[in-house]
Amino acid sequence: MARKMRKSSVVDEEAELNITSLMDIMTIILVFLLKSYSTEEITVTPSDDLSLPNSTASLKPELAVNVVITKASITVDGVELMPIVGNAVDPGQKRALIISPLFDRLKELADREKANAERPGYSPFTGRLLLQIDKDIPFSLVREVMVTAGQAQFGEFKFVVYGQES
Amino acid sequence: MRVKRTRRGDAEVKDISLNLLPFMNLMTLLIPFLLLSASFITIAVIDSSLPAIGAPQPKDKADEEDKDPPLNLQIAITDEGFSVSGSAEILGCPKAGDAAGASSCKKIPLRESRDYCQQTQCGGVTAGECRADPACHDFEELRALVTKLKNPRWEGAAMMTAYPEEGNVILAPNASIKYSVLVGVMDATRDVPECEAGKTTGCFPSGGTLNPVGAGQVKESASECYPNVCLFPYVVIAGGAK
Repeated sequence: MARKMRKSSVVDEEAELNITSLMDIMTIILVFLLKSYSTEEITVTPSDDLSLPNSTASLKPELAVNVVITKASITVDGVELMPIVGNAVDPGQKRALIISPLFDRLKELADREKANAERPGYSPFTGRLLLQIDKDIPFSLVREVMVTAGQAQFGEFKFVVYGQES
Repeated sequence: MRVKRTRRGDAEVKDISLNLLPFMNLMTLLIPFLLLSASFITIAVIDSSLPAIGAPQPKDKADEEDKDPPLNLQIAITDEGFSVSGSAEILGCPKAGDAAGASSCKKIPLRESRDYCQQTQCGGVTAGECRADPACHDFEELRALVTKLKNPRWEGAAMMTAYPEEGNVILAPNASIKYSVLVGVMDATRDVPECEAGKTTGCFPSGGTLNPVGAGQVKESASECYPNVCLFPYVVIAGGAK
């Protein structure tokens, strides 16, 4: 009986983990993550088909209609519009330099933004376009996208690039 | 705090343990959240606009005679290099009416240096899939030429530049030119980098407010570097060269 009692008293003693070292790690990670915290409004999803060029530019991006041209597709505001094969769009979907599906989509967005601009609380239509273009895309395709955007009344281009680390 | 008096009456502090569990809970919640919103790459944008179409402004004749002709800087980008044209003397373009045409303008051929191409095309990555071309566009030469054109200099304590009103450059790339080359040209003609090694001084010092020439700045140190001098930051991309 006495032996039993002694045994149970050992088990009852409160076991404590030393978590001080874990706390140290956590605090360091927290500071590091807070430093790299960003509230940037645009999101870039790098992939095999989209690697932006490096640049020395330092201008911060603003929110605007987002056109992404990868080696595989053209995407407007997250919605994939059409495929790209061999660094060019299908000639059947073009009228001269204008890419028809892209034009229709941008025109729709421009019209909607203009209608919104008249309501109170909305900012006026700026015609601003964020262009995320893969660095190996030839200028011929870039030109077609720019002409198409111009026709759809987007005249202010912002080329998205990897900036230098601050 | 548990304090135990010893026989001699001295206070002795014993080890105590704080209850860190609530704090740990907080940490485990904060860290995934911050991990999600952390950004490890810096995103920037380069401005460009479509050329405005419209009738030219009627000019005052007397005014026009006084002034130098506009610079009208244009850079054609082809597979053979750059061709820089404009009204400045050093570009060597023929005057209006000259029979020689634009072909006599300043040309910058491709640079045949594998090291340089590796640096510009692959970002210094030497191993792996990125294979640089044996010859590539010479951005350093272009930057040197454009800087010479703008000619930033200290006169006394004030910053002076040639063509202080000019901030436009027209780019005319060939259809086959890669987008990265286009960005390289825009970088080379935008601003003066030299102040700190590897860093541009930036001609947009206050987030978007343009300081196109940097003229009228006050010299702060004895060094010969030019803070916040823009060369030609307003980019207009033209239809392309043949």
